[in-house]
Formats: sequence, C-alpha cells, structure tokens
Amino acid sequence: MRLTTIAAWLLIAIVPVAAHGQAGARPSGVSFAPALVAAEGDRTVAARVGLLAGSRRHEIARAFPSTRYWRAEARGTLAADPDANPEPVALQAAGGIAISLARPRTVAFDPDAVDAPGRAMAFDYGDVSLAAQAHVETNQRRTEARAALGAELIYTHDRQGGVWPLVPSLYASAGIARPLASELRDTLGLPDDESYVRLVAGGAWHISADRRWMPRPFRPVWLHAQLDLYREADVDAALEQSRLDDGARVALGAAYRLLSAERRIVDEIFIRWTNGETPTLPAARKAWMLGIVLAP
Amino acid sequence: MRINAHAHIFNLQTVLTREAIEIIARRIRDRGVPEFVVGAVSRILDRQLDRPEYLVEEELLERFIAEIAADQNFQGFIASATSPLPVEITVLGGGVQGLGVSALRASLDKLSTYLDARDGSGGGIFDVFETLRLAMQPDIVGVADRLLEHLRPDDALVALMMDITSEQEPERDRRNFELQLRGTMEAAVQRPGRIFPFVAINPRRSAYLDILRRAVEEMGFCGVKLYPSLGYAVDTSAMRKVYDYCIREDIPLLVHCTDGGFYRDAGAIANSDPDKWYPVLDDYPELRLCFGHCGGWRGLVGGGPPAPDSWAEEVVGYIRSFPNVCADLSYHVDMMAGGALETDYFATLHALLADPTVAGRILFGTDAWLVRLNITDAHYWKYFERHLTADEFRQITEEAPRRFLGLPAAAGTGARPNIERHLAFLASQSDRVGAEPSAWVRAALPGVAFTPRTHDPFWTPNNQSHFYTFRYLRDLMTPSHQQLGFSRCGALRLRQLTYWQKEHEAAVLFAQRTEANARRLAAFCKANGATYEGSYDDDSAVTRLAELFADGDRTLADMAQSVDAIFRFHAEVV
Repeated sequence: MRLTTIAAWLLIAIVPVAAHGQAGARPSGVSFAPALVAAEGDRTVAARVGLLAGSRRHEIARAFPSTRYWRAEARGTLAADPDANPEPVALQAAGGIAISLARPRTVAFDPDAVDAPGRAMAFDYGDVSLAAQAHVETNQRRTEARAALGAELIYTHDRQGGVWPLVPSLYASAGIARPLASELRDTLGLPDDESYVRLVAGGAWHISADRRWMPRPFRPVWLHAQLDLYREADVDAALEQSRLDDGARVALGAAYRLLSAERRIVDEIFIRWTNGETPTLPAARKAWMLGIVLAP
Repeated sequence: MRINAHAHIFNLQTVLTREAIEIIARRIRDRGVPEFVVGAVSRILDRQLDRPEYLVEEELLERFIAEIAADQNFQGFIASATSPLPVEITVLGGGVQGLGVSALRASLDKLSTYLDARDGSGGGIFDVFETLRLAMQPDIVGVADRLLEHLRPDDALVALMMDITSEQEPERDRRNFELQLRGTMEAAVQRPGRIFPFVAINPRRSAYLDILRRAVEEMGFCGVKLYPSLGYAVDTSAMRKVYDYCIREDIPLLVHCTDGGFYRDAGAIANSDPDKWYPVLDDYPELRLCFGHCGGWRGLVGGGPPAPDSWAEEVVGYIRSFPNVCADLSYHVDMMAGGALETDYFATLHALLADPTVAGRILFGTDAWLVRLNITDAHYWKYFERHLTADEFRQITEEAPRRFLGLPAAAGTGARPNIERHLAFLASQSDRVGAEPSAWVRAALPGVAFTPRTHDPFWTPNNQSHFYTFRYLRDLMTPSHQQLGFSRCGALRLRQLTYWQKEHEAAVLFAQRTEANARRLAAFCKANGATYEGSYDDDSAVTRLAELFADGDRTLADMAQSVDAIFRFHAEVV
C-alpha cells in the first residue's frame, strides 16, 4: 500500500429516514440522501443516490431457505464540485443465489411462555450468496473508471452472542477488469485497453457493547470496523512498479445507538475515521465523518 | 351503562369478497362521493383482497392519494374543472412517497375541502379515508377499541356481524366469515360486558342454522343480525327455522330496515321493506325484533307522527301492535344539516318518546363504523345528546337497550336466557379476558374470579402472528432489549435491532441482511404452521417482508401486524 497524499476530510451526513426508505429490499427502487461535504477548505453539497432494478425468486424450504436473483444498480455520491467528492459512483449487475444457512425451530404456541428462553433457529450459521457480476466504477470526474466481469461472494450474519461479533460479514469479487479511463495510466504512458485480473474483498465487523458485564452507560455503544482490499494482477510492469495495483481502505467507527424503546429526536450519533485507497481514489486519504441519524 | 345498539366491529379483511367490494363501492357512490374516489377505494380493496397488508396511516394515505391521482376520472376532473385547482392539489399529480403523514393529510384535506365546497355533495373524501382507516384495523378487537375509546368505561355496544355471501362462495371467503365470527367472539372476551355480539345469519349460506347454533350455544353470541337486502326474503321456510330457534332460545333479532345501506342489487332493497314482516310477526308475535334505522330517517321528518306510507310509519305500527318489537335510530345523518328537516325530525322523535306505547322501545344506535362516512361516532352521540332531554337520552341509550337485550337488573338478577348464556360463556373464559369486566357482569357473576390479561390488541402474545414475530425478532436484539420482555418490545423499532447496520457497511451487505431476515422469518412462520393469506406465496411474502425489514422506522408491533396480514396461523383469531 502506498500513501502518496494525505487529506483530511470531514463529511457531515444528516440522513433523512425517508431516503433510507426501502432501498435494498425492493427489487426496484430509488434512494436519495443529501449531504454536506467539506475538504481542505472546499465545501460542496452532495447527494447520495441509488437506482435499483431487479427480480427475485424465493424458496422457503424447512432448512436452507434460498433466493435466486438478479439485480442491476447504480449507486454513489454526486457532488456539486466533483473534485471535492470522495465517493465513487458504481454501476453493477449481478445474478445468483442466496442461501440461509439456518433451520427454523418449531416453537409451541403458548402466550404464557412468550418470554421463555430459546432461539427461533435450530441452527444458524448466517447467509451466503454467490453470483456472477458485471461492474463499472468511476469517480465523479470520470478520470478513473474501470469495468469488471466476474463472480461475487457475500456472507452476512446478525449474531452478537459468544464469539460471533468477531466473525465478519464479508463480500468478495474476482474477475477480469479493464480500465475505461485513467489519468494515472495516461501519465505513465500505458494503453487503456489492457485487461487484468482484479480481486476486491471487504469485511465488516459490528460489535455491540451491550453485554451483561458492561456498565450501563456504555451499553448503547457499537463499534464498527470495515476493511476493503483490492488487488490487481497481470497489470503492466510500470503500473506494478508504481504500486497502483493494490490498495486497502480501513474504516473504524463508534456509534451511540439509543436503547430506549421510546421515540426521541436522534436515534444514533456516530463518528467514523477512514484511511486508505480505493481503485478509483488511489491516493490515500484520511477522513472523519460525524453522522447523526434522526428519528422521524 | 349506555349502549350503542347498532354498531359494527368487523374489519374489512373479514368481509372482503369481490361481491362485497362492489357493494361497498355502490354504497360510497350512493353517498355522492366522486367517481374517482370510488375507483380509488375499489382498487385499494381489490389489492387488499388479493394480498392483505397491514398499512400504517402513512402507507394508506400514500396509496389512497396515489390511486386518486392515477384515476382517469380524476385526470378528467382536473381537465374539466371550471375553476383552477388550488396549487397545493397539483402535488397529487406527482409522486407522493415520502411526503410524510402531515403533508399527505394536508393534501387530502385540501382536496376534500375543495370538492365539498364545489359540489356540496356531502360525501367528503376525507371521511372516506377515515372510514377506510378505521375499517382496515388489523383485527376486530382493534376496531372495537376505536369505537369504545370515546365512551365511558362501562358503556357498551351491540356488535352486529355482516355476511355478504353468494352461492358460489370461494373457500377464502368462507374462512374470512369464520374469522369474523371468531373475531367478534374474541372482542366480547377481550372487553367483557362491553360487547354484545350478534351473529349474522344469511340463508344463502347452506350451513346457516349450524352457524346460528354454534354461535349462540358455544361462542357467547346473544343476538342475531339479519340483512335482507343482501339477497334473501324474511318470510321463507328457511328463515322461519331461524325464528323458531330464536323463540325457543329467547334470542333477539336486529334487522336492517332502510332503503339505503348495502344491497345486492336494486331489486333486493325491497327485501328490507318492513311490510314483509306482517306474516312473520303474525305467526311469531313474541319475537324480540328491532328494526334497524327505524325504516330510515325520512320517515321521521313529518313533524308530528311518522310520515304517511313511510317505512318508519310501518315500524312504529309494529311497535304499537307487538310488545317485543322496537327500532333504533342508527345512521340518521341527513337532518344534521339543520333547518326544517332537523326541527321536524326531533319534533317527531320527541312525540314518539313521549308516547307510552312507544317509549322504551326506541333504541340509540350509530351504525359505527359505517357512519364514519359522514360523521364520527363521538359526534353522533353528542348530536343526539344535545338535541334530546336528559330523560329522553337516558331512555334511548340505557333503558330501551337493556330491555331489548334482556340485561339483568342492577342487582344482577333477572337476565333473560340469551344473556344468561352470554354470562356463562364469559365465565368460562374468565382466565383469558382482556380487561376487567363491566359492573353489570361483575354483579351478575359475583362468584367468578376474572383474571384480565391487559395486552394492547396491536401487540399481544395471544395472537400467534405477534407471538412468532416476537420470538423471531428477539434473536436480533441485544441483551438490554431482550430484558424488556414482550410487552415493552412492541415499541422498539427495527433500526434498533442488530441486523440494522445500514450506515456502517456496504450496501450489498445490508441488502442481503434484509432479504435474509425476510426469508428466515417466513420459514419460521411456516415451520410453525402458518399458511399464506390471499394470493401470497413464498415470493411475494418474502419480497414484502424484505421491504418491511428495510424500513427501520417500523415498530415491532407494526411488523407483527404485517406478518398477521401475510400469514394465517392454525388457530388464528382475527
């Protein structure tokens, strides 16, 4: 990994709940969330946008319920000043199968025993999906853009008991990539029609401090970590020499998520620190984000 | 104890059939509501019949406004409007999602006010929406609570079922009627002494006598509701079996008696003509019979006696001739505009209530929730209280209903057999009632210890959908939330559960979590005996559940109501 430039970012995102809406659940939908971005003296307004289309076929078996699906999505942040935009814009199409590695239990209906101990699942090892995918990613200036064709693997779990918080939710994709535009390659005098193997992987950890042994004031705290890696193989030697063929990005965060069942003005306050490179932002940048999730 | 002798607590889910939707649309249209509203309501009900959903207020508003905006009649109305629409109404032409409840309500209110002022139809769009909102409560106890909440703690209502059936009744409609039957019974258990359940009998249903016996002898029903304009005559051999049974078991009947309301077709309205009852009452003079709506409000605007040749005149004639016949004043709203109609209406009513042969046999009723198409139930009560003397109001809300129902005296003695059976049923359910019984029940059953389980009907472990939703979602809670227990967890929102990491991870991970939880919850419900409501299948159910899981503002109780709309559990009670 190479840190050529260090920039300080502060992104304040007040996320409207309506914008959260249904994105990610409906086969098709639109999401929109405005944000204010400030970077090294520059300020600009931005909006996180998403367009999603797709189809699902669910099968609810006694064990291993599954979903076969395809989806196409466009997702990213568009800023009034593209140079101040730290986020990429991505277009992606994928088709595959998702399987729950779980089997539900039979629980006798007894209103008096509604609070009795016992999990809903006889076993539960999370959910995994495997899909073929096509992917295009660019920065907003379209000076760094790539297309990729390959496969993706996603694993998630929602468990917080025992050692489960240490088990990350993962996504990984591998495939053949090809640059569509690259100022960096132009600077190095490399052709744009070179294909190469690309691996993108990421993991996310979410750890709740809500433990019986934890002092009560700290129980609403959540710790979040995210690690994103990319690695390109079979790239031009000049590019390999300049170490632009791989990178990593780390995000560490803490959130204070209110535990009360009663409604309040703010649901969650979080702070996040990120550092590292992405394929479309190869210059490493440190960034801080202070976020507030409003209760509607 | 004051009693509303004519009310309905069934929710739409339990009466919806294709035929019912047509009948409901016709009724709304007859109230003068614009055609684009009728169309919007029909489409919402069609969708509800096909795939029942629990809609929170915002969703129902969105859907209602979107359906109005998309209606061709509305587009035509805009194009032909003689005066330009207020600017605020143009928002209806665009997307309405995410506008928020207050903005949506304001839009609907503006449109409603504009149209009411423009054509003076009296069929307010906002009233239609509020009626839908009331009727689309997820369960029957919820509807009952909405009607009871503005009354005194000991006030009660007669809950009249409705049976809109046809000879070729699909299995789904038969199940819905069964749910209405059991849901009405459940409301009587959950609010003991405040709900007097009347079973709907329709001889077009082949097992109507079995239904009658089961309702009366096993389910605590204390009366029978007839609705002849839904397509049957009252003087037939089939109906005489009902009267035989009612005489034998001392069961009161309440019959729809007005040329308005629901009707199967124009020809069926005549079935509700009180004239049809002459031969029946001749043969069954002791029948305890209440003519709903007293033949209609028009008959009571004579200023003196009821208008000649009106249905009301015939009904009053029966009251004078038969000792157990009475009538109720439900859905009399047209005279509320005031003026001569109102003056004449109350002149007639004062005269009837002062007549010793009629006094004590005119009952107060509102026809809630249907009356919400014009006025709230609370305003209906207040209107009559304001226009009658205290003695008259007490007569129609207390004395006359007590007599008709056969309630015991204050000491708890003297109940008629139908009420004795109802009390015995309540006593048999004493360990699962939902509230402290009314004073009259406690007085009549001094030796019975009732142990109320006070649960919000919107979030109760007695409901299997709520039970299994909670058991599944509890695994997605942190320990502090799990310790809250079932009762308090209903107010938690989905974004407080552990799967909600939307702000802290890649979008693909969150999308997988919402869908995975939808799949798992569906599998958990099915593993515990649930089948699908309506035309839901694995695909549509998981898709809908995934939408719900992606809406973090939804409470666990909201989620449970949605699960209740999607799944049908083995021993489900609506």
